[in-house]
Amino acid sequence: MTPSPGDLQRYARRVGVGLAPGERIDDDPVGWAAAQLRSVPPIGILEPDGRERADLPEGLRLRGSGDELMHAWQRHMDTVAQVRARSASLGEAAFRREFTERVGIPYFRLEPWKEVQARATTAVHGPAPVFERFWHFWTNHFTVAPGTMQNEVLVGPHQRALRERMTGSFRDLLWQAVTHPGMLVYLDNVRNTGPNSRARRERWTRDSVNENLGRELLELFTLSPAAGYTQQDVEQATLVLTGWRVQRPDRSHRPGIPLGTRFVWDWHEPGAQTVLGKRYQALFKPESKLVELIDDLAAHPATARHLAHKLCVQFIDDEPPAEAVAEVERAWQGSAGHLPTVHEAVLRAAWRTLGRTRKFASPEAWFLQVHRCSGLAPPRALPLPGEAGLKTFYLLGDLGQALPRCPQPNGWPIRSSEWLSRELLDRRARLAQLLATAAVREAGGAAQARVAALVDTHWPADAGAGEGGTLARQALAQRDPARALALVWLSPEFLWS
Amino acid sequence: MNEPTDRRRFLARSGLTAALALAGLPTAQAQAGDADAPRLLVVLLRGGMDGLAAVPPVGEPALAGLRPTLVPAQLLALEGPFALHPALRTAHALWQAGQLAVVHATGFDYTGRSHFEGQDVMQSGVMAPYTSPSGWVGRAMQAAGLGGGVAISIPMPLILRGDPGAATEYPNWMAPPRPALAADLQRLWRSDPALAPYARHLAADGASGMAGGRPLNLRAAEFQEARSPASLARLAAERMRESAGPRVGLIDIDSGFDTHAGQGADSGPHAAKLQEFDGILQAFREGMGALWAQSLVVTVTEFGRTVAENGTTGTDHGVGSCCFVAGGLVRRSALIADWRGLARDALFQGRDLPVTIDACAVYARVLQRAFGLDEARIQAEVLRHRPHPLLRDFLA
Repeated sequence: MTPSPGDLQRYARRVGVGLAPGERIDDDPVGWAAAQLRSVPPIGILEPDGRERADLPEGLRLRGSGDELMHAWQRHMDTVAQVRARSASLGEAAFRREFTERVGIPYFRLEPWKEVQARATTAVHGPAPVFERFWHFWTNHFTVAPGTMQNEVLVGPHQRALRERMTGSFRDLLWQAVTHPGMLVYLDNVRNTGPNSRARRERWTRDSVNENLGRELLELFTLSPAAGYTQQDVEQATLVLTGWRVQRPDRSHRPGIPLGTRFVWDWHEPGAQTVLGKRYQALFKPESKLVELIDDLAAHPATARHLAHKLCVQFIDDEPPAEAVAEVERAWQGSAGHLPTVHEAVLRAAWRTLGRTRKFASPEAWFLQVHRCSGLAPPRALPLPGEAGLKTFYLLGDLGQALPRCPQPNGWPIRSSEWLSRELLDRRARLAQLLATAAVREAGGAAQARVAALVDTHWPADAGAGEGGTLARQALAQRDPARALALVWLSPEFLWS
Repeated sequence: MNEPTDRRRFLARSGLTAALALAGLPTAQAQAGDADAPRLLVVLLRGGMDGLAAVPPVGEPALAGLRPTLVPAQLLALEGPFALHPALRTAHALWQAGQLAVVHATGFDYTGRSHFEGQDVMQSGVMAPYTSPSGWVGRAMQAAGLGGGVAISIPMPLILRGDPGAATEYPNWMAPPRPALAADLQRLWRSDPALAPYARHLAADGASGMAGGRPLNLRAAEFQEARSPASLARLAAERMRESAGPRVGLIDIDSGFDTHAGQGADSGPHAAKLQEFDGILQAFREGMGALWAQSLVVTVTEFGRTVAENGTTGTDHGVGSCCFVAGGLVRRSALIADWRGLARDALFQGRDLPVTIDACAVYARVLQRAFGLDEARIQAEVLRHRPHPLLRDFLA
């Protein structure tokens, strides 16, 4: 049976960010989606034609994860220290001005702006929106947010490093997520020190164990509490993680030592640790304890179950059909967590169950869909003094999802029910009106026809247009295309996919 | 298009540190004569408040050794071995005025030490995580027949769900939908079961241009200030003191108590969060005016923190914490605890403050007083709990 255009549109929003005006899926929607997962698309701040945006200030580009990143992080810390050191001589007002200029603008505004702008424009204008949605899932699963140890510059690089692992195994993705400086800093592991380590015995530090990463490694990233691990497992996993630190180019840096993630035996808890009944011991290669633990956690059946279910909640339904979860879990087990295989199983299950499941778009997904489905570009203004215009990352905050500032390490909600409240809906309505008004103004004389075409796509006149179609056509008849456009975006058919 | 750039820039930077929700508008019949019905403000302290930092048992000789860098020096006296953290000045003034009860070594029958399970449990009031679609405040309002609601926070916290009238609201800058769009949306959403409950509000809000976030015509600093916990408390009081206003408010401090490293003592990250809570108390008390006499403020946190300082001058996830109940409906100031000391064998699993008084029993007493619900009904429909003799008469 040939799929209906409505189903194809809905599926494209369910697993992607929808179809642009004129974009078509042929009769194999799963193949269309799966093809987008086979390689890692480049990410950048893109123009609607897919090229990198060329009008950005010098130096405003996405940083990689190597030495460059450590230098950037050090520069941020040094700058803060320098400005603070001058605070007494500057006086209150001048200090605030200088702080805003040297720290506030580059690190609190431009840093998140450029990452969110890249994320949004790559999803809307890039070649593989389905890949992007799965990437959004994994950045949320392995949340790293600003707010710890001046880690603003580490957040985007951590998230983007995950993309590079999405065509391989979950094991490699997990390793990347856990040992990247972004995570080691965010969950305090840079200070997690073995109580019997040399650093501790010889009093180089007063630091000792810190369970923050050890707990989330078991609870959030892999097994989930349903697996029934104990407090002792958390404590032992925490000890395995001791000594996994981050080398910055600061005064402690010695020549020849590489910057970035670094396992330092002197800070590691010697001896063996036991997690879930298995002993982790390493005589010749101490860092192999964590390697083995990550291998085992990635391969654990509870991890497959946890993540199969979570993926299905994200892409299928708050209460996903059991057979969909089972299919994804089987794919996970059968492929040893090969992510393209797992993701494709999600895509298949999502298509097969489309008629009896539904998901309410998160604020971010809805925002991206609004733009892609309407042929619009996400607002492009920079958050600089005197620069007018809407700013994408602030708008996401207004919608209730202030990327990248996720409040807690469990990420943004993935359940539909969490995104339904009077305030959240009211904000979508307000923003839809604002964006629709701006789009109509921008389109000038072409607005009426363009909106009419969108309304026809969304509510085909020959398919019993339904109440939404009738209301939108009435608005058009009253020469109010902004209202018609907002109605498309706010219709139940669009909010849900 | 012009945009109020100045006030916007603060959003991402400040994140969402707190949110306010109001609910429990009296029904039309109940309004008359209800002007001085009890008002309840619930404050969620997410991240795990350190009860031993907020209300340190400084009379315990072991405390200083267990917590070398965490015990404040400038203490506010309470009673017995207990003192108040210096950031809790308003709380201390309330203590002196006879309007603060502190329940110590309290918490939930949940010992998994996970934030996310714990925050689910503390809101649902159901000790199996992720099994309840409703929260104990929502169910209590439903049981008490407090229908309808106004609201202020962006997401809808689980604790208020279960009352179909509960809604949320938060300071906002965007203009509400024009009446024509609001009317269309009302028709469009009516037939969708998940959206229908909001359709009615949307049309009403659109028509008045008020509720669902009064458009704030503020400058940058003022907009930032409008979202501070104290301002949300002021806003809560402003709404809740209206005679037909909401009976229940909720302020959600959505993170920050989770101080694994560099927790601080007199000052520092944990002290700053306590100060936020104290600011809420102060602003709410001032804002309620005479109705403070009919008010209760109660805190909820998912767990306490380890008794001993961890290896990074912080604390890890623990079990028991303390709970504050403040307001004119407190009978007299009291430190309520079945206190067993800090010796290792008195602690839960040798490391955490044990739960000696069920926090659900504290909340049950609060619901009983605020909503006039009887004990049996609370047990059956709202919040299962283990009553405790020490809680018998701490509320007026």
